[in-house]
Amino acid sequence: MREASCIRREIDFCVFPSPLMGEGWGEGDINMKKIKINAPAGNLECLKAAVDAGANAVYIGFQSASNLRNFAGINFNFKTAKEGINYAHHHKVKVYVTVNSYPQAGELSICLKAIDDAYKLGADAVIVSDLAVLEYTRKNHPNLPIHLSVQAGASCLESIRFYRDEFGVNYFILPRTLTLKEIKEITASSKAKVELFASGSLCINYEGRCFLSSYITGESTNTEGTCSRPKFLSLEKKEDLIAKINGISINRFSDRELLISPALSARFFADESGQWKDSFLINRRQICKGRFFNKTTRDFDYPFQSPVYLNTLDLIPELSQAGIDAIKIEGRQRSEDYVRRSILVWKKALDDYASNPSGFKVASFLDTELDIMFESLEPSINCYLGK
Amino acid sequence: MGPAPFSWGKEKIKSFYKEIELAEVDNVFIGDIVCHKRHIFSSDELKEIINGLQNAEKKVFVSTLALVTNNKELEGIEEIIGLGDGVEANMMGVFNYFREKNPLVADKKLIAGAFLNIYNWKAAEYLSKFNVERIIMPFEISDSSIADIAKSISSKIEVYGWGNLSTALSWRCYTARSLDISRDECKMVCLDYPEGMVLETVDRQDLFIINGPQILSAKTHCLIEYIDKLKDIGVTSIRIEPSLKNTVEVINIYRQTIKGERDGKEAVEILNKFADHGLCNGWFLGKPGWEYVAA
Repeated sequence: MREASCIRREIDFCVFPSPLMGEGWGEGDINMKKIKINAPAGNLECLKAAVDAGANAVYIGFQSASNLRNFAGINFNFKTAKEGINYAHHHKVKVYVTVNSYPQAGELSICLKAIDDAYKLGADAVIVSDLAVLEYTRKNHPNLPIHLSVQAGASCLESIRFYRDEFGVNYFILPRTLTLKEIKEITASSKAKVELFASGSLCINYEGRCFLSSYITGESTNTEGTCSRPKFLSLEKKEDLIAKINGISINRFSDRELLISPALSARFFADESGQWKDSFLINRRQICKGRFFNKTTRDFDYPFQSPVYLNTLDLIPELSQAGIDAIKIEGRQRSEDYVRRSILVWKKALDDYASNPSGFKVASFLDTELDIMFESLEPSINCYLGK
Repeated sequence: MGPAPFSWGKEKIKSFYKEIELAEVDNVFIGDIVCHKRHIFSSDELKEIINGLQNAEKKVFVSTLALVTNNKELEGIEEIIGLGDGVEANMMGVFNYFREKNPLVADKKLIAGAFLNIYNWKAAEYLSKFNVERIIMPFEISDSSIADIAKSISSKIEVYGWGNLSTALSWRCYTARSLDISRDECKMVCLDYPEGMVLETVDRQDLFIINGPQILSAKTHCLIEYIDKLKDIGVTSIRIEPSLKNTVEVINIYRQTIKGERDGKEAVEILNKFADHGLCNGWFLGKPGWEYVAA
């Protein structure tokens, strides 16, 4: 039975293509394509910076609960989205509109309006998770390409096949739950186009199934697009400095830890002026990056994920051989400077690989550049290595 | 009754379901949702447990993994999905077997698990084309959203009524990580922790339980005070999560309360004693999940 089911999975993809089958489902030499860069843009300035820096596509969201970076002060209205899409298209850069919330009662219309607006604006694709939003998009805008959001969590061939056959999806943003070997299994058997998170904040849990923020704050990543928002962060100075989210302690920093970096220490204790909410704490406010006591082992440590950021520059050869269509840079909530610098780093690294695949080595200044942007966090690729 | 949340090993699982044969539950879900390595039974062994429950007039459903990342894990699912009265799909790929009338699931009922994220009635309605018999509501969904779904569709609606709720799932095994070993080399060390590992905050508040690649709430979710409300909004079944302690007592208390033989206030006082780290139900009331709101 095992062998038979394996064979069937491959045959299904080759013999019964979806009627909506688009580019990316046929045979082809996937290994030789240059990886594209899909960049975040939280506002018009970021979008223009991304286009100017050489992104192949930019992903944006509207100012509504339709997408998972629903933060005050970022995202687009119809007018700015129109200007942004025109700017990008003028420079032959694609724009994808993120509509990846899971709407609850009464909120579905927000997502459906976002889909309609994306279509009217001429977006190159929409990024979607919810079944109702997927169905609406396919029925009402049959020619609008759908990218399956990472939040939908299509992590294996059968799930990919489900979304392809049901909604004509031919582009998948893979969860950060797959090893390189598993990614290759998908690209080799399905010929689906896949995009992979390559740079930025690292979610260690299965996307769309993490309710840590919702459990502590009541604000859900899935439905409200927020994860441990900074407004829930507070500090309490006792013997040590205790960081809390919505009143629940998630970390404790000793004076010794703070003294490691005088600059960080200074910022910590500047809390009366409001300056303490710096990147050090912002980067550690997610509950998955909290430190807790394990009552069994008696360890006080990071049980889920130590504070790291995702940097897969070293994996460019493997990602290329795996047939990845594009890398995704995380961070619609981040600055224009971050967007520009991240793209320039990735563009240089991908160009270096394209010009000399066999002798490729990441230039050290590129790693340094990313490290600077994620000050106080260590780089990590462990999620793609199964560690 | 939901599938056993923790890694218990063959003997504990067999004796647990022997006990459940006599318990007053209608449906029993069996299988492991969080880790493929915990599929420790052969098909024949699993069938024997299922037969015992079916002979005791329970409907038995096989629950699939929620996070499937490779073909080997898919093959593991294919080995078990045909063994019971139906399948609880916790990942969308399972729907292919039903759409294509795969012989593996011939005459089997299909249930949409909580990990499918069915948050609105249109998504629920979409599943009706697959003849989904029942939809398990997402953990964090509120009463008003459940009501909105229940009034709009014909499928039955089930909510989690008792147990430690899943607050996250990962590819990384947190149990192995806490012991400094990799998931690949775990040798199922989770068997040594049949109630998981409790994590507490720096101010000594029990917050989470590590269960392999899953993070559970330390508090026990409890809706016993809201039985009438659940009925009113169209919920047709309540899920009890198994535990090594007091499961049959919990079932009995829920059953008595559903029948109106026991008051919710009185019931919660007894159930509170079974919750080692306190009770919660905030999500159902539209609040942070860890809160408990008395009726």
